[in-house]
Amino acid sequence: MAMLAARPSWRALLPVLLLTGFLLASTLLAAPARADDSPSPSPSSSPSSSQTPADSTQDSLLPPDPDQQESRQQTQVMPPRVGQDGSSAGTASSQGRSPLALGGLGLLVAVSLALTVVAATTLWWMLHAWRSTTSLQATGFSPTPQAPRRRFSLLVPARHEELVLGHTLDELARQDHPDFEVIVIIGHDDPGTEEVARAAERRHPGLVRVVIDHSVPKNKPRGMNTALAECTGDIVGVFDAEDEVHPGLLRLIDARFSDTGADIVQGGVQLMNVSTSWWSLRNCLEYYFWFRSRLHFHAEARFIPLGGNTVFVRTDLLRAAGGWDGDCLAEDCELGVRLSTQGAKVAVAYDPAVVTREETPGTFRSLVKQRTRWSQGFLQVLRKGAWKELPSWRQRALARYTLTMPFLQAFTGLMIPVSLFLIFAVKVPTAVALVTFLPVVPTLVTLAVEAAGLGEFGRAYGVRIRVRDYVRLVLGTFPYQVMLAFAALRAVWREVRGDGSWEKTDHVGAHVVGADPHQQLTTRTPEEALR
Amino acid sequence: MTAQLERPVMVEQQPDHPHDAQPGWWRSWWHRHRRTLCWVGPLTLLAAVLSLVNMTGAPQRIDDEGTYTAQAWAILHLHELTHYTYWYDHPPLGWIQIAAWTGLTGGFDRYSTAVAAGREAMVVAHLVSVVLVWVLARRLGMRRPAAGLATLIMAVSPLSVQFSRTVYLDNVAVPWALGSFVLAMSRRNQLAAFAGSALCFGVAVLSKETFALLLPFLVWQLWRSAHPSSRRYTLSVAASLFALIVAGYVAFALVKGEVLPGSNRVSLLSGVAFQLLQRQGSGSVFEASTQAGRSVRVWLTLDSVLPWLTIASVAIGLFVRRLRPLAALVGFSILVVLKPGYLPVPYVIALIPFAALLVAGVADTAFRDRRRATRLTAAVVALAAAVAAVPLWGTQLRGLLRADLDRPLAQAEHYIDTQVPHDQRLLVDDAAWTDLVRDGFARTNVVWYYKADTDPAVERRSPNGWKDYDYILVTQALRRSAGTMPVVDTALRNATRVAQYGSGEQQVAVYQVHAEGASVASQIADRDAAARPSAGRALAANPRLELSGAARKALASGAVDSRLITLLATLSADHRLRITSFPTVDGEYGPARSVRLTADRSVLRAAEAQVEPFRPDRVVQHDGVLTLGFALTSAADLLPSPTS
Repeated sequence: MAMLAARPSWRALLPVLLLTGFLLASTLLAAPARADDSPSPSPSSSPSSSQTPADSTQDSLLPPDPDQQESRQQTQVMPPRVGQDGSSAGTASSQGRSPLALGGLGLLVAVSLALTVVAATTLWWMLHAWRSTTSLQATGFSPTPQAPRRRFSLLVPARHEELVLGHTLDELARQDHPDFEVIVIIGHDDPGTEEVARAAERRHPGLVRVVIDHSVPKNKPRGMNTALAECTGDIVGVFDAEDEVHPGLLRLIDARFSDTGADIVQGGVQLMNVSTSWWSLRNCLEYYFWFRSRLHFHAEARFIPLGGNTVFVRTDLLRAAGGWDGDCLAEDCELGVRLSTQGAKVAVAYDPAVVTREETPGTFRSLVKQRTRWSQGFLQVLRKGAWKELPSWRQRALARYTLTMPFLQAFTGLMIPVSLFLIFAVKVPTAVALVTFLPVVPTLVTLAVEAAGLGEFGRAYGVRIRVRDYVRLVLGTFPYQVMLAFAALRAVWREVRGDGSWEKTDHVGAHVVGADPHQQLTTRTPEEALR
Repeated sequence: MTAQLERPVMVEQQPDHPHDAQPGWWRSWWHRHRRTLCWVGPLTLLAAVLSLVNMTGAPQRIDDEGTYTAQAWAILHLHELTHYTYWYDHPPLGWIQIAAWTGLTGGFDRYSTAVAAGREAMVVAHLVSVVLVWVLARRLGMRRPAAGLATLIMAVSPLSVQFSRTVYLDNVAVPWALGSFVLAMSRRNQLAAFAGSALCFGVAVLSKETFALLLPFLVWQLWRSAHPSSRRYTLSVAASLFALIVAGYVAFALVKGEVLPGSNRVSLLSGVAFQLLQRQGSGSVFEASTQAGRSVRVWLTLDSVLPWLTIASVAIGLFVRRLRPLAALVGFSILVVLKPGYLPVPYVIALIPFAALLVAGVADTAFRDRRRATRLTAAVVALAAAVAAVPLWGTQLRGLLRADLDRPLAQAEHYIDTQVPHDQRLLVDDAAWTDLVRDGFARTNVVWYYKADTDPAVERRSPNGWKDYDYILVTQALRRSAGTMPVVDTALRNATRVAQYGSGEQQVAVYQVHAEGASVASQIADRDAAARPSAGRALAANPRLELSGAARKALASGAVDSRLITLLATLSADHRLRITSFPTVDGEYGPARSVRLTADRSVLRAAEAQVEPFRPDRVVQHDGVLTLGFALTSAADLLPSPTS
């Protein structure tokens, strides 16, 4: 374990290498290109940069060359060099550049194209559900009601959640499904929460059960593994203690299992508090696009990082797989990957009416920590390598790509201002400059799509979206990218130092609800859902 | 730890695409599409024949064609966007595509004139458009015969045939615009289709900016086809993508630092301002003398059936739901023609496919109508249109398929290449620019008229203004713009005609510029012309010369160059000469500059031993026949005046 942690994962460092390459390319370009300016027909020839009249056609202020004025005879026999004439026209000639600068240009183009591909695929997958009307219909629950056929065991891991747990359990007990149980997982060192849970157990006899988890150190997957042994249902479902669950959800999930013949059904989770802060808006939209659209793509592609709650798995399958990975920071994602390798079929279903509602992390700090943990969790899954056993190369490629995505995506956003700076500060050929603009295209289209999604979100959930929300959406784009990039870098840093395990996190301040989701066994924050 | 556990059986999975694996998928494709292919195949073939036969002969080659072809050639051979400073007159994507086609197929090497290679690219674009008209007709819900009618109009209308041959950027933009409408009418996979539609339309607008006029109708069509459940996304993706593509052009200017006008540089803003504000109005279309009136008259001459059918179809089409955006598009485009202001000559190109679709769509609707009277009326109108169209189109098509209107210009180009020394500086029509540069004239010595007065770089290379040019190629374009270009006009006033080909609008002439001024030159020329007959008669009287009848006549009438007369007189002092003829160059004015005679090698040596200006520039001995020739030059006082 320690050895594993000490070995840096080169794949995870790929984005860092990309960034380094990009910066290197720009510095390489900067010096020789400037030196180049005057003698060669510079691509963006400013009037003063050309010394020879024959080299610039734009430069009407320069006095005519005396040689040319002298006699027309000479004009007639102008040297063949005049072939260069008027070369301000865009296709930049690269003659006169050093091999080093040419290499830098090549690198710049390659990085720009790579970033474009990253941003474009992210955009396309984000829009997966809306690519056709049939695919949009396929994302919802079946419109025809079906008789319930399965027994559900709903796991609710709770740690220091006495404030919200009682209500959540009462709500869960109101499910209109005829056959289910609720298992509350409580740490043996958490009497406050246990008291709330026991009260619920008494209120709903035969429906709610309390399971005490004695494992040390504690974390969510271990707690759930303890409870897995106690489950009596055909299907295990997971909810967080603060989730707002629709009472008709289980029937629909049951029907979804029947309709699709799936082994796993992932339901929708949605953050609701759009207008709390500048970043909550973006966070809510991330959830919206992820559960509304992107997850369906992953389900179809047969590689899916599952969410942390409102996820339903066949009990026998889960037991055969050995339950959750108690050492992974992204145990839900890890389970999805592991079950995908075994050919499990995953169905995703989303309907705004029955979505599980949550709130964003309470503070920006906790958001950053949450993101760090997800990114690090993805890294761990990547390094664990279960994805290598996926049957087809397409799945493996998608797995590798998806698990690296937090890093790639973060840098895409960061690269755009760097590109802009390079274009104006460093003289590069026009064609190269235009290529470096390319990543901006999918990025801005993404922004337009996000604005459209925000409007739809408001309509679907009856939230009023004001003009200032759209303004925040636009203005928040770059800071949010910076946050993501920072969290991704932080995750790499922690992973390289082996500072990534649940075990390392102390329970300092764990009693403060939501203060630091990273340090909690089970959190009141919803981050587990979005993996 | 987990491996030992019993694995539960997974649910049996269905293969996702069972038909993908089947062999011979193309057979089922053929089965599904064979009826379509039976329609589209012959129609496309017909379009190809009508476009390709006599492609270079008609219509007459014009300067715009030369410009776009030269710009495409500049991309391939000069690795620059234009052969002169690019000044944002049009976005460059149109000729970049022409360059792509000619570059990939080696077009410039396959034709004697560069414009012909450009025309080939136009024909390719036209054939794509023809197929797309079919597809769009089908998407508009027309039955196959109606779709066939639309395609047929597009393929056969002389208006379409003539304009689709001409190297106009509009022709490049048409298939993209049609493609964007085809994609905008997709029912399945709308997200990708609409993104594609926006992409195509962006390319169309960056190929020819006037296609932006179609934008409202494309938006309307997109809105109509968009499925409400995904409309937010499909439309925002399409809108943002189109905006970004157009912004790409601005980015291009930005990167070159040429967005805002500066005192000494071209700029995007001034280019746009030129197109929108500064272009001279073309006058009213209802007056025959204006440029707009001329354009419209040309359109109506080429096809006097389609325009009227189109106007009628607009009126009807606006009441047919599925045709409404199309009818509005065509109606709006017609109104733009009528509005005062600048009317580009190729404006009609964008209109033709949509007009063809509208006419066919209205016909389709009429023939489907449940009322007998409507169907009957439609049949009568169709019959009348066909009866009118066959002879009218036939006449025009015959001209397009047989007339060789390019001959005069080709001859003039050949004349310049063979007769004018390659170090001379020429003012030419852009239609000939690439050919002459390829013939070996230095790029800076072949100057497009328009640039002599507008491009600072060109003006800098000609510090003495008009005096720095030696020859002018005079075409219809120059005759038409006479009085608007000071340098060219002055040069032409001080020039004399040396050769001329064709007549009427096709007439092309080569003029020689006299730097010393027209009056001085004409005085010298007059003296020379007056001296030649007497000197010629004196030479003919020389007993050591044996002359054919024609040669004697030529000498006596002064039709022989004074240098030649002097040379023959000198040679006859020591040699007996038998002169067969004084050959002239086809189309050339002025006295004959060469002689054909039978003589031995000593004559050849004697001729070569002469000094300037009497040393012949061309000496050829072949089968005992010696040909001596002088280069084209201005007349000089070489002969004694007959009065002195």
